[in-house]
Amino acid sequence: MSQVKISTADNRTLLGFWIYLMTDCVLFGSLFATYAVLHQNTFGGPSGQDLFELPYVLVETLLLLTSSFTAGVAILAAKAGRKKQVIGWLVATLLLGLSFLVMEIVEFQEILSSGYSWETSGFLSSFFTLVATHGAHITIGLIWIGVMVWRVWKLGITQGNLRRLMIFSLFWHFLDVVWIFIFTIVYLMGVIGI
Amino acid sequence: MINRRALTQYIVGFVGSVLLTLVAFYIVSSGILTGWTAVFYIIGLATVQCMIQLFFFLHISEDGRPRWKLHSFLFMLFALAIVVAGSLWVMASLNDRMMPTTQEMQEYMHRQSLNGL
Amino acid sequence: MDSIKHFIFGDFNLVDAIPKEMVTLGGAIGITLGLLSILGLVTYFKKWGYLWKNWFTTIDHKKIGVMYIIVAVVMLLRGFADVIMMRLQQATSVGSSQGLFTADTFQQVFSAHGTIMIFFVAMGLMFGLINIVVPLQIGARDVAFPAVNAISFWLFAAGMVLINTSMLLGEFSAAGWLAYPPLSGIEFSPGVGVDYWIWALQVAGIGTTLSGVNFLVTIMKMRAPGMKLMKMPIFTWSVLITMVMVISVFPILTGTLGMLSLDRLMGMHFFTAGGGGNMMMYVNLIWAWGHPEVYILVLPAFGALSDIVATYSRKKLFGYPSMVWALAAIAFFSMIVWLHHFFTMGAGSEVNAFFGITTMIIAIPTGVKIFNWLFTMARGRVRFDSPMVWFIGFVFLFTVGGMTGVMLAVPALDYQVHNSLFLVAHFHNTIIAGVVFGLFAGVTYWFPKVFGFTLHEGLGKAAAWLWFIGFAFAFGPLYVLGLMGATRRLDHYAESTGWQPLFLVAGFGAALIGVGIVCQLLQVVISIKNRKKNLDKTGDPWNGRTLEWAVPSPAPFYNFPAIPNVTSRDAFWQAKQTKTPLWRDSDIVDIHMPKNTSIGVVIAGLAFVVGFAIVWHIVWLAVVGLVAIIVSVIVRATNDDTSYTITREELLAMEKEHKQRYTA
Repeated sequence: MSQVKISTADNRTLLGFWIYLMTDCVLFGSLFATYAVLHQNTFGGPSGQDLFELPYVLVETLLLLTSSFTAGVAILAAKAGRKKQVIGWLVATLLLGLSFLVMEIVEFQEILSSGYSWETSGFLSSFFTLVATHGAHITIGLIWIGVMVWRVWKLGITQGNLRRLMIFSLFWHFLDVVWIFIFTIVYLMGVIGI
Repeated sequence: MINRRALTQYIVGFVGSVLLTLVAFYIVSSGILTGWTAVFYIIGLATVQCMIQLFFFLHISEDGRPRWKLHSFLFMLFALAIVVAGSLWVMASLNDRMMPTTQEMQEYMHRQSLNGL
Repeated sequence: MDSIKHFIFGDFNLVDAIPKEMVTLGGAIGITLGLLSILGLVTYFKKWGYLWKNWFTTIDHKKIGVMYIIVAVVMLLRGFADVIMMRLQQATSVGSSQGLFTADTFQQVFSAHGTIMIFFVAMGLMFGLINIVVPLQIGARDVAFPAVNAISFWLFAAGMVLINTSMLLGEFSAAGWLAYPPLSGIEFSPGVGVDYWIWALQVAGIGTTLSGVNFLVTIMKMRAPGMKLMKMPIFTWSVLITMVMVISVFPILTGTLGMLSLDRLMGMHFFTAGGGGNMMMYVNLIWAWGHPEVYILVLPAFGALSDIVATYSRKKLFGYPSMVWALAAIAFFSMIVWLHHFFTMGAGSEVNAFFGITTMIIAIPTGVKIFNWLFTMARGRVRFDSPMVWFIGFVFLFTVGGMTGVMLAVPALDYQVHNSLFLVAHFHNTIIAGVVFGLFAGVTYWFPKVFGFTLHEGLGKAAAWLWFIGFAFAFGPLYVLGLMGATRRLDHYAESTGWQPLFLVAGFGAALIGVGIVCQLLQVVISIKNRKKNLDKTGDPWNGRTLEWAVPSPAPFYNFPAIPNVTSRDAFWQAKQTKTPLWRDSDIVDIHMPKNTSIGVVIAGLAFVVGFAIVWHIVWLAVVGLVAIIVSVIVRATNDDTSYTITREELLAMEKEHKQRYTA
C-alpha cells in the first residue's frame, strides 16, 4: 500500500493542536500549584502517606506508559499504510488506557469506601481534582480512539485519517507526560511525606 | 514498510521511560533516600523522562522552520514556571506570616526564654 | 412526587426565580420585552433564513468580527445602565437618605458592571476588531481554523446570554467582579448568582482560549510571502503578543473558576475558610490571570492606535523595532506583577518589594510607546479626524492612569489607598482611556473596510470630546474622594464626610459620557442613512499603509483574489509609492474557501444549556448537554467535506464587478 502524505493545512492543524496542548499544560499547572499549596492541609483526615499504595500506582503508570508506546507504533503503521496493524495497535492502546482508567476508578472507590472523600480536606479536594482532571482527559482520549478505529476500519488510511491519528497521538503522549508528574509529585512525594 | 529508525526511537523512549519510572519507584519504596534528597532525585528523574518523551514520542525537535513547536513549548514552560514558582513563593510568604497557633507561640516563647530573653 | 419534580427541574422553580426587587424586575421585564420585539420583527420581516444563512452559520472572519462588536455595544449599554444606577445611588444615599437601592441590589449592580464591561464589552470590542483586521493585514483569506473561530464567537455569545439570564431567572452575583471567597463560597452566597457568574465566564473564557490558539496559528503560519515577523503591521504584532498572553493565562482562569465551582457544588475545600482550604490561593490565582488580562485588553488598543497615528500623520511609525520590543516587554512584565493587587493581604516585605518594583518597571516600555507615538506625529501632516481625537484623549488620560499606577505600585502608599475610590479612578483611567478609546478609534478607522462607507465625522468628534471631558469630570472627583478615604463599593455614607458634592460632579461626568454614547449611536444611524454620500469608492479612504487598504471596501468574502507579495513594512504604502501592484491578474488561481457551518451555534447553545443546568443543579440536563457536545464535536471532526472551490474565472468576474462598482 502506498504511503500517505500530509499537507500544509494539516501541518497548520497539528501546530494548532500543539498550542492547545500548551494551554492544557497551563491548566494542569494551576491545579498542580494548588495541590502543592494545599497538600499538607489534611484537616484531621488522612495524608498521602496513609492513602497511597505505590505498587498499585506503579502498575497504573506502566499501563499508561505502554499505551503511549503502542499509540506511537500505531502512527508508524499508519504512515506505512498498514491498515490492519493500525487497528491492532489502536485497540491495544484502547485496552491499556481503559485498564488504567478502571484502576484509577477502583483507587478512588477505595478511598471513598474507607469513609473519606473530596469533602474531607483541602488535600483530598486538590488530589481528587488533579487526578480526575487527568482521568477525564483519558476518557476523552478513549472515545477518540474508538472513533478512529471505526474510521480507519471504514475508510482506510486516508490523508484525513492520518492527520487525525497524528493529532490523537500528540494528545495521548501529552497525557503520559502529565502523568509522569502526577506520579512523581502526588504519589511518590506523597509517600515520602513532603 | 514501517520506518525502522522511527520505531527504534519509540522503543528507546519506551524502555528509557520504564527504567526511569522503576528507579524512581525503587528510591521511594526502598527508602534508600529520604526527605528532600529523595525529592531532588525523583524530580530529576521525572524531568529526564519528560525530556525523553518530548523527543522520542512527541518529536519536539522535528519541526519546520521557524520552530514554532519548540518555541511555544519553551515559552509555556517559562510562563508555567513564573505562575507555579511565583504562587508558591507568595503563598509561602503569606503562610509564614499567619498568626501562629498557641502551641507554636509557646514553643517560641520557651526558646526565647532559654536565650535569656 | 417532589423527588420526581426535583429530578426534572433540579433547584429551579419559576416562581422563586423571578426577581422580587422592583428595579431588577423592571430591568428583567424590559429585557424580555426588547428581546420579544426583536424576535417578532425578525419573524415579521421573514429574516430568519437570511440571518441563519448569512450570519449565524458564517465562518467569514469579518462577519464574526461585526457580530462580536454588536454584542459588545449592546453590553456597553447594559453596563452603562449599571453606571447610571451606581452614580444615582452614591449621589443620593447620604445621611438619613437611603438612596434608591438596597445594599444587596447595589452589590449586584457593581458586580454586573465590572463583569460585563470587562468580559463582554472590552473583550468583545477587542476580538471584534482583531477578527476584522488581522487576516486582512497579513494577506490571508481567513483565520487558520474558521469553524473554531465561529465556535469561539458563539461561546462568547452564550456566556453573554447566560450572565444576563441571571437577572431574569435568579439573581446576579453580589460578590464583586472577581468573586473573592469566602464571600463567593456557598456559605455566604447560597444563591445562584455566583454560579451564573462562574459558568458564564467559564463558557466565554474557553471561547477566548480557542481564539488565542486560532489567531496565534493564523499569524504564525498564514502571513503573505515576504512578510517576515519584523515586517508585520504593528497591530498584528500587538495581536500576536496578546494571543501569546491569552494562551498563557486563560487556562488559569478556567482552572480557578473550576475549583471555585467545585467548592460550591461538591463541598470541596479549595478556598473555604474551614476544611483545610486556603482562600488566599484564589486571590493569588485569579490575579495571576487577571493582571495579564488587563494587558491583553490594552495591547491591541495600543496596536490599533499605532497604525492610526502613522496613517493620520502620513509618516511611517517612529521607532518600529522599539515599539515591538516595548510590546514584548510590557507583556513579559505584566506576567510578574500580579501580587500588586493584594499588597495588603500580608505577604512579606521582600515579596511586596519585588512585585512593586516590577510594576513600576512597566511604566518604562509604556513610556517608550507614548513617546514613539508623539514622535510619529512630530513634523507629520497630521489630520485630526475623529480617530485622532480619540488618540489625543487617550494620550492625556492614559498617561494619568499610568502615573497613578506607579503611585499605587508603592506598597506603602497602596496600604493607604487600597480598595478606595482612588484605585477605582486609576483603573478606569487605564481601561476606559486606554482600552475603550483605542478600540473606538480602531472601530471608526476600520469601519469602511467592512461596510463600504465611512462614519459621520462630526458626531464622531463630538462623541470623542464628550467622552474625554466627561471622563475628567467622572473620575477626577473619585481620586480626591479616594484620598479622603471613600472606599469602593460604597452604598451609603455620612453627611459629615462632605463627599456628596464630589459624587454629584462624578454623576455629571457620567452623564456627559452618556451623551457621548448617544452621539455614537446617532452616528451609526445617520451614517447608515447617508451611506450613499460617504461611500468609500477607493477601498483606501485614509491613505492607508497596510494591506487591508489594498482590497475594495467592503472587503470581498475571499479578501484577496491572489495572495499579495510583501517586500516592506508598510506594504501597501510602498506599492502606492512605487506604483507596483501587490498582485497581478495572472497570479489569480483557483482557491478553496471554508463552507458555512452551524457547529458554532450548536456547541454554544449546548454550552448554555449545560451552564444553566449546573447553575440549577439539573443533573440529567447537564449530562445530556455534555454528551451532546461530545457527539457534535465528533460529527464535525469526522467531516471531510468542509471546503469548496472558487475557480479563477469566478474570481476574475467578481473582481471586475468590484471595479465597475467603484467607477459607477
